[in-house]
Amino acid sequence: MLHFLTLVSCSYSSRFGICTTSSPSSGIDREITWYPLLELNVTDVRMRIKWSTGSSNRSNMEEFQTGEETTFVVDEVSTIIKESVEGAIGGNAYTHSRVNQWTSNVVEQCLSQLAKLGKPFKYIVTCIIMQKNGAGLQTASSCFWDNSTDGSCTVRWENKSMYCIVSVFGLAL
Amino acid sequence: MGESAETADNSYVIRPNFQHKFKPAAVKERIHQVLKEELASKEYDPEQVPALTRALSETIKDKLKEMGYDRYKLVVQVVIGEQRGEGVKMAARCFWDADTDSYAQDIYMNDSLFCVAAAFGCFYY
Repeated sequence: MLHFLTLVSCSYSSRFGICTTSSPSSGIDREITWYPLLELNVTDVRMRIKWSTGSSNRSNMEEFQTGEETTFVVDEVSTIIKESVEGAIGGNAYTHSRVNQWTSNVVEQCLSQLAKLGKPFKYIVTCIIMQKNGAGLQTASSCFWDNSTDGSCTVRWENKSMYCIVSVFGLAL
Repeated sequence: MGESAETADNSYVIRPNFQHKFKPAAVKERIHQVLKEELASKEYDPEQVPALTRALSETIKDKLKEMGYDRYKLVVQVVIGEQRGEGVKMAARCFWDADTDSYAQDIYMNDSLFCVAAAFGCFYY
């Protein structure tokens, strides 16, 4: 009996270095050497190798697959933040004793919604709640990251008695 | 497996070694120095404060880069507000790898303003 095994598809990004595959004569084991290359511009790439018996069938070819989008989407995150803030402190007036709990709630809600998105990101969420007293407040942030994949989103929200500023920073893995 | 000095070469490091880890205490000290230096004589001036906040966050970020965290992505947030007796609360939560990532913060106050600076460091695998 002759087992004819072919490597159906093997495609890779040049940034990932060397990928060597060998088609063994026995047809049982396959050997793949895969060297990870860690660079600042690495993208999430998944590769599938399908071994098929019988004649080489082009229709069995697996496509080169990429993972879900790995850039920070500002609009989506902005919606999430607005919903979280409304939910947590929607109709309340500034109360010193409850502010602690409010900030925690806002931040935790945001974070759990962001985690649910399931994207390969690390998140940093900060929330500032300030009483409306006529005073001024300035926020600035400076970031050292990869501009093509990482991003931030800041939302300012207010009601009659307080201001709330929420910032979300997303860093790609 | 080891770290290469060139950015184009492979680096098979997926976890920072202890020397290279983001040290909150050291970073807090650095931030404290910067805030003391920059804000010692300043007063809250609505015209100048926006530029001051931006400059401060850039300075802190540059100082952190000098400290040698080259595999880390840094986020520095600076908040400056006028001292008028009102209540302010700032909170942060992070979704990251607790082994490798960390943050440091410091607060500076004088008669006319208060300043909060937070620096977050995330390891880039």
